[in-house]
Order: sequence, then C-alpha cells, then structure tokens
Amino acid sequence: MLINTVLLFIKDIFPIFVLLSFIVGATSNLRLTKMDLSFYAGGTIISVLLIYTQIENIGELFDGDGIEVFYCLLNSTVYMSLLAITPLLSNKSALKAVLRYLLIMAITLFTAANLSEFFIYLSAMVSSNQTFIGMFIGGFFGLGICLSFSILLTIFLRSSLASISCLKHFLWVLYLAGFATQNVYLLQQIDVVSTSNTLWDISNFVADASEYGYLLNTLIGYKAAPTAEYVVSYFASVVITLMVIILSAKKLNRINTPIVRNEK
Amino acid sequence: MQARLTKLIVLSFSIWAAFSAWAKPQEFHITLKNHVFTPSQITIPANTKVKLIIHNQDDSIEEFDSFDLNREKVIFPNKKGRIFIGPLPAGRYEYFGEYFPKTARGVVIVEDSNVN
Repeated sequence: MLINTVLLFIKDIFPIFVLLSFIVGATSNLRLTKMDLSFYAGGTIISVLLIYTQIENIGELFDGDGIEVFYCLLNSTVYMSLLAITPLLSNKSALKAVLRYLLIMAITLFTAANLSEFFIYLSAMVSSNQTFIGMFIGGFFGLGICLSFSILLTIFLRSSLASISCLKHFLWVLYLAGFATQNVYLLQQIDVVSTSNTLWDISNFVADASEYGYLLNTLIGYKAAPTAEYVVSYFASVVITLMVIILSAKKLNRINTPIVRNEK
Repeated sequence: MQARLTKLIVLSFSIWAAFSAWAKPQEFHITLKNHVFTPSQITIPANTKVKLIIHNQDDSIEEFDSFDLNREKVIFPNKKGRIFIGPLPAGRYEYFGEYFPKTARGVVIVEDSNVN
C-alpha cells in the first residue's frame, strides 16, 4: 500500500510539479500576478470537482473512448501553450495577454486532470476499506519527493550554468517532445493511430516500471521500448521546438541590431 | 461533375466500409472480480491487432495497466472498457490492476499459433 501510494504520487502528482518547475524555472521573464495565481487555484478546484464527478460520463463518450479523447485534447492544449511560450526562454519580451490566459488555462486543466486521477485512486482505496496509515505515509513520502525534486529542478533551470551551457534549452526541447508523445499511445489504444513493432528494448537498462523509468518518462518522455510512431512524433517535436527557439532568437537579434545606413 | 463526385464519394465509402468489416479485430474478454483478472492468462496471435474488452464486476474502480503493452485504461465499477493491442511479436506481456497490483495481475501470451 505504501509503495503503491508513493508510485501513484510519482505518476499523478509529480508531472504537475515538473510542469510548474519548467514554467517557473525556464521562463524567467514570466511574471505571474496574484490574479493569475488566484485564477489557477480557483480554476483547479472547480475543474477537479467537474472532472472527478463527470469522469465516468466522459469515459462513456465516443463509444467508450472518451477519456483517451479528453486527455489527447488536454495534452495538445498544454503542448501548444508550452510551445507558444518557448521564445520566453531567451526573449525578454513580455507574454501577450491571450497567451498568458491560454497558458494558465492549460496548466489549470493539466493539474486538475492529474489531481482527479489521484482522487479516483483514493476513492478506490476508501471504498475497499484499505488502511489509511500506509496511504498517509506513502503520500507523505510522495509529496516529499515531488517537492524536493521540483525545487532542485527550478533552481537548476534558473542557474547561470543551465543558461550558459544551453542545458535549459536542451531539457525544455526534450520535455516538450515527451509531452508531444503522450498522445501517441492514447491514440494507439483506441485504434486511431496504427501500432508498429518496438524499435529497441532497453528495459534491462532502465525499465518503464522502475522509479527511474517514471522519473525519466515525466522529464524527457523516456520509453524503454518505443514504437516507430513514438520515435517519429518525438523527433518531430524536437525539430519544431528547435525551429521556434532559432526563429525567435533570430527575431530578437534583428530587433537588437541597429540599422546602419550608408550616408554620403 | 456533381454526379461523378457523388459516385466517387459512395465508392470511397463502400471501400472503407468493406475494409473496416474485413479488418475487424478479434475480441478477447477479461473479467475483473474481487480484484482478480479472469482468465489471468490469454493467448493472442502474433503480428495481429486484437481488441481486449475488460469487464469490471467489482464495486470499485480499477485501472488496467501494462508497461509491456504500453496501455492504461480506467475501468469504472460494473462497466467495461476496451483497448486495442498489437500487432505484437511472440512473447509474454504482463498487465496488472494499478490500484490492486498484488491480486489483479495477468499475462498476455502472444504466439504464432494455438490461439484460444
């Protein structure tokens, strides 16, 4: 029970901490106001209530594939929002109001969906009369792992070492790629995307079911045995994010370079 | 022009419908009761896509989970859920109930022949 709760904490709650760490740590120019935080907190509570109470009805939609469709839409919204704020990694310009609200909405929905999954687990435990002690200790450990890791990640992303060595950009590109691939298995599960054989299997090195597997999956979308569709979407996202970074850097250079005129 | 376009649409739809019917995957059923999957072992053909239907007869929610199959599906109490798996090479693919992993466990055996 204890280990299971820790693992579920890492699976459901850890991605929220990592997402917030990346947004706060990597985009130093993103200034969140009290209003934004209130919107996030209030929106999360309302969304959790809505998702938790309606998840069964959502699941019934699309011939029983409603949850997969819901998560695909959610992941796509978060991915697009993160891609849109990618220029903030090096750009000093402020975030546009529309984009700001899209980002907050995406984070709110992502947090709510993950929290709802965790509450579903809790309700299953309560309904089966499981002991609370194991769950409580597991939750305590799980929260400790999430908090400590996210603080370290935020500090690292904000450090000059991460900026100078481009590690911040590197991690951001891989994090977004991992996010982009989340939809692949969901769509394969409901037979929208075909499934090919796995290209390699390094489960002996780091298994998906291990703690490191969970961690690396959340951070960079690690899969021990990925399919061709997974690898293609991963690298497509890497290319797209790199293009956004390069184009925004070029645009910034053009703005900062003074116009030299030939004056006779 | 319009008639030709209509014919083309009808023909495309017919081909799609015929292909869908022909390519309908084989169904396999698993029942979850008292946090135990029955049968705990199913055998499916290699290199073929199949549909797995999981019936949750418990009063609590469960999540069908498999790292080997890369599948994860929440099954609500007294409801069923479906997932597509494969085509897979011959081998052994384990699955479990995420909320009750000690009891809810099973394995999908992928074989070239002898499919039950």
